[in-house]
Amino acid sequence: MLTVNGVTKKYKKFLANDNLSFTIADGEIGILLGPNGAGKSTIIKSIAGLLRYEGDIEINGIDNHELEAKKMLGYIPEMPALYDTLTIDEHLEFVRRAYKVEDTGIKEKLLERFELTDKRKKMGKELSKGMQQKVSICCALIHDPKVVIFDEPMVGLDPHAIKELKALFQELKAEGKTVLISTHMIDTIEDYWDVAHIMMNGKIAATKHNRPGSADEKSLDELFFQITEGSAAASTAAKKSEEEEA
Amino acid sequence: MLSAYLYRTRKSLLKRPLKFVLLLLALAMSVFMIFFPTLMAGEEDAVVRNPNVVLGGVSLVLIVMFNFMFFSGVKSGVIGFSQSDVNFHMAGPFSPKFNLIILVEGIIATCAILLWVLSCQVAVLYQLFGVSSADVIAILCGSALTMIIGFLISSFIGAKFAEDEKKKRNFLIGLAVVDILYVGAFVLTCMNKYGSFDTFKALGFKGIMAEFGTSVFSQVYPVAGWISLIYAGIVKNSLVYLIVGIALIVLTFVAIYLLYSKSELDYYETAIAYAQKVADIKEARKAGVDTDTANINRKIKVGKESLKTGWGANAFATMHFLQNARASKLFFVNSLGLMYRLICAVYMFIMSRSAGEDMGPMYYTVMGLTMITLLNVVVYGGGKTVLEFNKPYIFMVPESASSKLFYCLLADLPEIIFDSVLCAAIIWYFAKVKIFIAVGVFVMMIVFDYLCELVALIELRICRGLGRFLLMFVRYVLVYAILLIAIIPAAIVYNIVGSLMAFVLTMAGCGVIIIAVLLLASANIIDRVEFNS
Repeated sequence: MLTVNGVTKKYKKFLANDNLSFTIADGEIGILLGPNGAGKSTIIKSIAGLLRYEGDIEINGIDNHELEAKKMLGYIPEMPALYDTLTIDEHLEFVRRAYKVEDTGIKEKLLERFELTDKRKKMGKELSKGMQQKVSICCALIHDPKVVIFDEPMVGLDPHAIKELKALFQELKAEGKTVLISTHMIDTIEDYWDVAHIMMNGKIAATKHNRPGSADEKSLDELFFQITEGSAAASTAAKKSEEEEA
Repeated sequence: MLSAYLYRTRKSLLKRPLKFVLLLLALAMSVFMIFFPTLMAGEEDAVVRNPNVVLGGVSLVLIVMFNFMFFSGVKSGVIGFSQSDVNFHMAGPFSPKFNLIILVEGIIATCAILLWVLSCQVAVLYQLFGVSSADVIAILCGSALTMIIGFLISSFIGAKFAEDEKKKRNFLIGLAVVDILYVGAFVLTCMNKYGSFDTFKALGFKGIMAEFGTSVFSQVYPVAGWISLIYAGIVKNSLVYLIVGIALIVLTFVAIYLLYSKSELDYYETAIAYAQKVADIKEARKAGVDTDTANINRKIKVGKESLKTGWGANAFATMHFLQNARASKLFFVNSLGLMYRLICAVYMFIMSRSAGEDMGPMYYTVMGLTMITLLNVVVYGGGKTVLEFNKPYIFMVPESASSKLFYCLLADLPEIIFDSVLCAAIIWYFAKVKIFIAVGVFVMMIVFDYLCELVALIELRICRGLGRFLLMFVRYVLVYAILLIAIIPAAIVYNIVGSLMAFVLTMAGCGVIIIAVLLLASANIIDRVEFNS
C-alpha cells in the first residue's frame, strides 16, 4: 500500500505539490494524470525519496526514507539513468547485488520478457532511449518490489514494449502489488486502472474510480479536458468519444 | 553571435544575483592578480625585470596556449553543435564552413576559463620571469588571440578528419613530433653556441629563457611566435618586429578566410551524431540525471572483465572498479591526473631552477604541495563518486548512507594511491627531501585527494545551478581556504619542532579533521537528497 499524506513541495517560491493526499491499496493500479508541469514527476520523485518535502509518505505503513521501505519500492524514472560503460547484463547484476537478491533466474526472465537477451552485452551508451527505458524497468523489478512507481513509462517505447508493459501492469496487479503510473498521455490509458488522480497546478483536481456500471459519471477523457481546458473542450471530447463508440 | 551570447549571459546573471556576485569576485581576483607585479614593484624582494627573460616567458606561455587549443580543437573536432544548430543552421541555407563559426560561442567560455586560470598564475609568472602588469596584459591579450586563431584552424582540421579517427590520431602524433623537433632544434642550437650541454644547462632557467626570448625560435613558432614578435617590437621599440608580426597575423587571418571559403567540408553526419548525444545529455539533466559526459568522445569496448562480486553497498565499489578496468587497462591510472602531474613536475623543475639558492626543501615542498592540491580540484572534482550522485541508485539502494558513500569513495582508492605516489616522487625528486618525508607527503596527498572529492560533492549539493565556470571558482576558493586552515597549524608545529615531516603530517592531520567536520556537516548528503535541484 502507498500512502501520501499532506505532501507539499516547493522549489523556492514555486509550489510544485500543494498538500497532496491519496492512497493506492494493494493490488490497485493508480494513475496520476495531468498536463506538463502539473507536479506529477515531483510527487513521484518524492515517493521515491529523491526530493525533500513536507508531509508523510509511507510504503506499506513504513516511512519511505527507511531502509525497509526502500526494499519494497521499485522506481522507473522518466529519463533512464544508466551507466554509460556498463552492459545491460551488468546493470541488472549490479542492482541485484546491491539489493541483495539471490540469483533465482529473475534476471533472465526479465531480459527475455523485454527482448533484451541478445543485446545483453551492449553498453548503456550504445542503447536507444527505448532500450534504456526497458533496462530501467528491468532494474526496478529485479528485487520484486511490493510498490512500483512509473514516471511516464511509455515515452520512447516501441508498440511491442508498450503492449508488454501494459500486460506487466496487469500482472503486478494480479500479484497484489501496488502500482502508481504518472502520465500526460491520456490516449495510452486503457481500462486497466483502478483509480485516477487528475493533477493541475500541483493539486489533485479530481479523483475518479474505475467502477463498472457507473455510466452516469463523466468519462476520464471528459473529466481530464474539463479540468485542464474548461467545459467547452470537455464537451468536444465527449462528442468525440461518442462518435468513436458509434 | 557574440552579442547574442552576451545578451543571454546578461539575462542569466540578472536572474541569479549570487552568480553575478561570484562572477564579480572572480573578475576582481583577476584584476588584482594582473596588478600584482605593480604592487610588488616597490617591495624589497621585488623580482628584477629582464626584458629578454620576459620575452622568452611570453613566447613560452603563448606556445603552450596555442598547443592546448590546437590539440584539443583537432581532437574534439566537430563536437559542440547543439540540436538547434542542426535544425536551424545545418538544415538552413548556410554553408558547412560558415556553420563551423557557430562553434565560436562554445570557445568563448573555454577561453574565459583559461584566461582566468592564467591570470590566477600571475604570482608564479612574476616569480619565474619578473613580468610587469603590462606584460601580463600582453600575455592575456596574446593568449586570447592565439586561442581564437588556434581554434579556427584546429576546428577546420578536426572537421576535415571527422570521419576518420585514424587519420586524426596520426595528424596529432605528427604535431607532437614537430613540437619535439622544435625543442630539440633549440637545444642543439644553444649547445653549438655554448660548446656543450652542461654549459647550456649552467645558464639556469632564467638564462635559458633569456636565450629563448632573444633567439629566432621564439619568433618563428606559428601564430604564438608571431604574436610574441609583435610584443617584442613594442618592448624593444623595433618597428621591423612590429610590422613583420602584424603582417604575419593579418596573413594568417587571410589564409583562414581562404581555407574556409575555398575548400569543401563534409562533417554534418558526425556533428549531428554528437549533437544528438549532447541533446540526450541535456534532456537527462532536465530530468535531474547527469550522464558521464567525460566519455562523450571515447571509445570503450566490453572486454573480459565482469561483475562477479559485491553485495549490498559493496556492489557500488565493485561496479566502479569494473568501470575503471573497462575504461583503461591500467585501472589505477587517472589519465587527467597523469597530465596534471606532468604539469606539476614541469612547474617544480622550473621552480627548483629559478628560485634563489636560499630557498630550502621546505619552500619547494610547500609550493609543490599547493600547486598539486589546487590542480586536484579539477582532477578529483568530477570523479566516479561525484557522477554517482547524478543517478538515483545511491539514494534508492536499501543500505545505510554512510556505507554507500564509503564504498563509492573506496573505489577511488587505487587511483588516489597511484596519484599520491607520483606526487610524493615529484616532491622527493625536485624538493630534494628525504625519503621518509616523501612518505609523509604520500599520506598527506591521500587525505587531500579525498578532501577535494568531498568538497566537490558538498559544493554540487549546495550550489549545483551555478554553472561550470562559477562551480570551479567556488571550489578553488574553498580548497584555498582549506589549505590555509591546514597550513597555519602546520607552520606553527614546524616552527616549534623544526621538522618538515612534522609539517607534512600536521597538514595531513588537519585534513583528516576537516574531512570529519565536512562529513558531519553533510551527514544527510544521501538521506535528505534533492535530486532535481
